[in-house]
Amino acid sequence: MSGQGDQSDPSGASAVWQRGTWDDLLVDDAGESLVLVGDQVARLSVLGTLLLELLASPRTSTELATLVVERLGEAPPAEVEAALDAALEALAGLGVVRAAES
Amino acid sequence: MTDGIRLQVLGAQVDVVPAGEAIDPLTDSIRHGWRRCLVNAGEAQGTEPTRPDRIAVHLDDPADLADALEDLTHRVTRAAIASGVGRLVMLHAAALAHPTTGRTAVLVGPSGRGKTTATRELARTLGYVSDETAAIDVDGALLPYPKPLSLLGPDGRRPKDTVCPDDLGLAPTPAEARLGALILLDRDPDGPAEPVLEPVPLLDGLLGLAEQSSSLAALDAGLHRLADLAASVGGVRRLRYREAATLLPVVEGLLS
Repeated sequence: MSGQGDQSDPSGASAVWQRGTWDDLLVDDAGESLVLVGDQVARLSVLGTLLLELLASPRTSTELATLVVERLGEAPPAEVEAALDAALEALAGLGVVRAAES
Repeated sequence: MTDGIRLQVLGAQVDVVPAGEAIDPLTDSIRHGWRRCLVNAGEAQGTEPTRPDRIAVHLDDPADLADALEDLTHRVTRAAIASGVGRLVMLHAAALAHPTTGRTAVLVGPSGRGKTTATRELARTLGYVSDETAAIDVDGALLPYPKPLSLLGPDGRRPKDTVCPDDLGLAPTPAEARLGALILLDRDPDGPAEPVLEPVPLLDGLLGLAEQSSSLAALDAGLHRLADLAASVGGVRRLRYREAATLLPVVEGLLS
């Protein structure tokens, strides 16, 4: 399992995120998924699954917010930001994403 | 050749080496309890391993026999599971096989969910494959682990009694067992009087299996392998029930 890198300001708009590591990822038809990380298995929401897809290349939080709205639809910016922060925090807790080292 | 008691467990071999002042009753109890796993001298058991795991068990006081046997069961199980890492899907589950077709129901659940109790009921009719670990190879074949059953004594007394499946009248372990059903056990004292078998959505089912798996990450694409197994038997099912005595028609029906 990878470390989570430097997350001194992981929720800031300028934070750059990248993929961590996992052992397997299985996505269902609805866009939800299971991720296997070592002995741990977690269920990811549509948003969490989408973030892993989008982070095939490192992206800033701002870029992610834009792409998430494009894919999942409009929502009030504050709600998008809150949802994104929560999802990234959960994914970082699993080690499947991490803040990129500057 | 071995200087101990050679067992075949989940396709691997383990040498159990008894010792101590009470070696005779210890040896007799191991040979009896594990008789369905014994590798007899000269018996062909597939590829001979270069070095079977060796488990030493020591007993001086016969009064400690039950403790020694219970501990041995845990150690053999750990060795068996270790032998399958990276090779087998291993689920914390009971496994019962149709006596003629070998189609096997794998009843998945954590400790205390009723696997052994269900095994004692179902294996009066269905072949006893395991009450502890279901190990499935890439082709859907199950590797048997017909270990002695660990039964709580009266009033929940410990150590558990280690009881030979033959002494409980469990049906023979089939020569070949193949996956026929994947079932999440859901025993509930307040559950339905008649068992309810229901399909489980894909991710929920796989999550339930994965949570009761061993070393899934050591397999290549472990989640996908679980998904392939589930797809091969029409998906994962949940079995809600109150009493194990009611399960046979439902499980037998799935395997027919």
